[in-house]
Amino acid sequence: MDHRKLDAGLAAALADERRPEARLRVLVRLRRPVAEREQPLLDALGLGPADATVVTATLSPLEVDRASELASVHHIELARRLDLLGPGPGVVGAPDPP
Amino acid sequence: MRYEKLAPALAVAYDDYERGGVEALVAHAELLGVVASPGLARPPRIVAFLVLAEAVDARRWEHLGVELNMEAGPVRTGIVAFDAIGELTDDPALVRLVPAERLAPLMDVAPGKVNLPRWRDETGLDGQGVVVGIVDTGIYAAHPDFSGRVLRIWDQTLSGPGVAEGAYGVELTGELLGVSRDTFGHGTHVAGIAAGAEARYRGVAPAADLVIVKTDLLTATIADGIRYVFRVAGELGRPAVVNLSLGGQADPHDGTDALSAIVDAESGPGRIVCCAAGNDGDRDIHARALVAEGPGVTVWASVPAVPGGPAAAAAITAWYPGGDELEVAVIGPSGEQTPFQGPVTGRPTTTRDLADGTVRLTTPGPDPVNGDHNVFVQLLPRPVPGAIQPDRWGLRFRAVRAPSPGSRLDLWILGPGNQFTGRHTDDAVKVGSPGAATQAVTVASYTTRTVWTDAGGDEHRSGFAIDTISDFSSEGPRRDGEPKPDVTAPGSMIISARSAHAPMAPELVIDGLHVALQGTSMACPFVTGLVALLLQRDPTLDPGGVKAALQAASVIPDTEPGTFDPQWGYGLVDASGL
Repeated sequence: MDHRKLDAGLAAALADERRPEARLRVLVRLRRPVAEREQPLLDALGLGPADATVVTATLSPLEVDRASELASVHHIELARRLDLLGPGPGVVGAPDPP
Repeated sequence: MRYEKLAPALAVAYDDYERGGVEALVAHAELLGVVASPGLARPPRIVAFLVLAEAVDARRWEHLGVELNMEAGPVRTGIVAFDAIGELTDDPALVRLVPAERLAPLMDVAPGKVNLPRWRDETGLDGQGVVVGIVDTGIYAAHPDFSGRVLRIWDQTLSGPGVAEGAYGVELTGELLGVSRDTFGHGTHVAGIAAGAEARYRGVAPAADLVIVKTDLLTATIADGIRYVFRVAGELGRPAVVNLSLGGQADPHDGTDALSAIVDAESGPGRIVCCAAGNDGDRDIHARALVAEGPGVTVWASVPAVPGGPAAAAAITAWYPGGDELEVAVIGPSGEQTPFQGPVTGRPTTTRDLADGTVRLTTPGPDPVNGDHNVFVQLLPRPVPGAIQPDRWGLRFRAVRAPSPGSRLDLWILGPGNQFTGRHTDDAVKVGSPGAATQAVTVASYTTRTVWTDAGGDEHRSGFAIDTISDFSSEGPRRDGEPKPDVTAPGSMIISARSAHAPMAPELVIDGLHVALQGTSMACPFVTGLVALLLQRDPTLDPGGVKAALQAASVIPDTEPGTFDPQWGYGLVDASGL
């Protein structure tokens, strides 16, 4: 595992995750163009063939490990859950978020 | 018969019916939703709102001839036979019966305050030919405000084969749109502000078509949703604007996180993304400190416990320049402190058990994207409820390497109710991702309404000052000093479309089809609608052109045009200047 390529949230999540079958939703930043010999490896991880610089994927801890070792992978960020930005404070009885 | 449960207008109509039969109701049909004619075979009925004291089955009053239209919620719409009103009001489950009124086509207050109706009348712009993408909690597609204009829904929360952007969820069109439900109501309300077509609470771009993504709110799936909307619009040959009324504070606040990068990459001519600034303006969720070599500084945080429940968890994310080197230790409420920990090139996470709870410190080397250091601290509850005390936690930083006068450290605390305390608390830099994206049009909230009347006739007040920036609207700029938010628009209180599948507090329900909500979530779709109108006028506008137009039409009260303020951006948009 190349920890230098993981964001802190992903590093913390992996430290906590013992299950090899766990699946982590991530955003992967790639170096374009991808080296020809790495394209099949990216495809196998679900990181190709889109030509975007940032791609989304669902990876196991082992797949994160493999992806981090590829030269064409620049950074891997754990997907975070965002908040709905309304209703704002001051409103009584506002429903809880989903 | 319980007359006190009837709205006054209905009580008068009911009395007239008792005395004069069907003929006596004709006079009321002009103002109320009375379905009555001396020539009709069916008994006279009225379209009404039923305010309920408890959850009731939709068929509870079927034997009386009462038809409930909505499946859930404390206020339902329905059709009630006049002959059933007596027995219906005797049921304790019914609190009040309010007739539907025939409304004059009046605008709600928010559009008028930014001169939208006049500008729209003068230009004839209505959003036709433009796709408005809403990535949110879904939509109540059957709402009359959207009639026939919801082109597609990608419901990411349903099991299915997915779409080109992700092999998950289900794409729905036509008669299947109703399979996807907005059970929270946020997305429906947002869509109504941007593109609702109802006369009184009309949205900004009432003829725009809608492409909806019901998301699970993860940054990765939101990113897929943005790409989906633009791909669908591209296939239709239409310009598009995507609305993101969501956000977080866990990112570096400089627009370099992955979701912001995708917003930037997807934006372009005829492809615009609007983002809410955030609702943390009146919360102390950001702190800033200068850490020099020497004893260091301590930043204090308050983590309230949940009374009678498990201890709350908190997380703190901190960023400082990549050329500097800091070490961090955590001080528990009882004074016990972890060892200091600096950047680690290998596995960067350590876990320490303190008397007050478990602390996890993650201190990787410089981030490969922005080059800065990130420190991620998690305060975790013990298995025993109440293990983390409702008290101050300290993060002590000391510099190993820092320029003079010190390394600038920015911190954000995550989790509901958690806030910083003490002298390092800083009321700025609270516009997180995706609002921090460089190409995004990021929107702050302005208060145009503070008083509203619910469907039961009760008046409510928000407590905010009117005709000024909303207290909750998050302040910029970005951590790197770039100006955010961009502009301000009405966001409190805004009356818009209500999802029939979402329970809403009675005090927020205006009528069976509309609800009042507030937040930068509501300000954002106002600007999304404006952008749809601008794209109708010029489908090739890019984010720079859109921002230039919006900023030129915006002003902060009592300041020179073009002035930037960290909470207002470039000010309240005046549509007449677009």
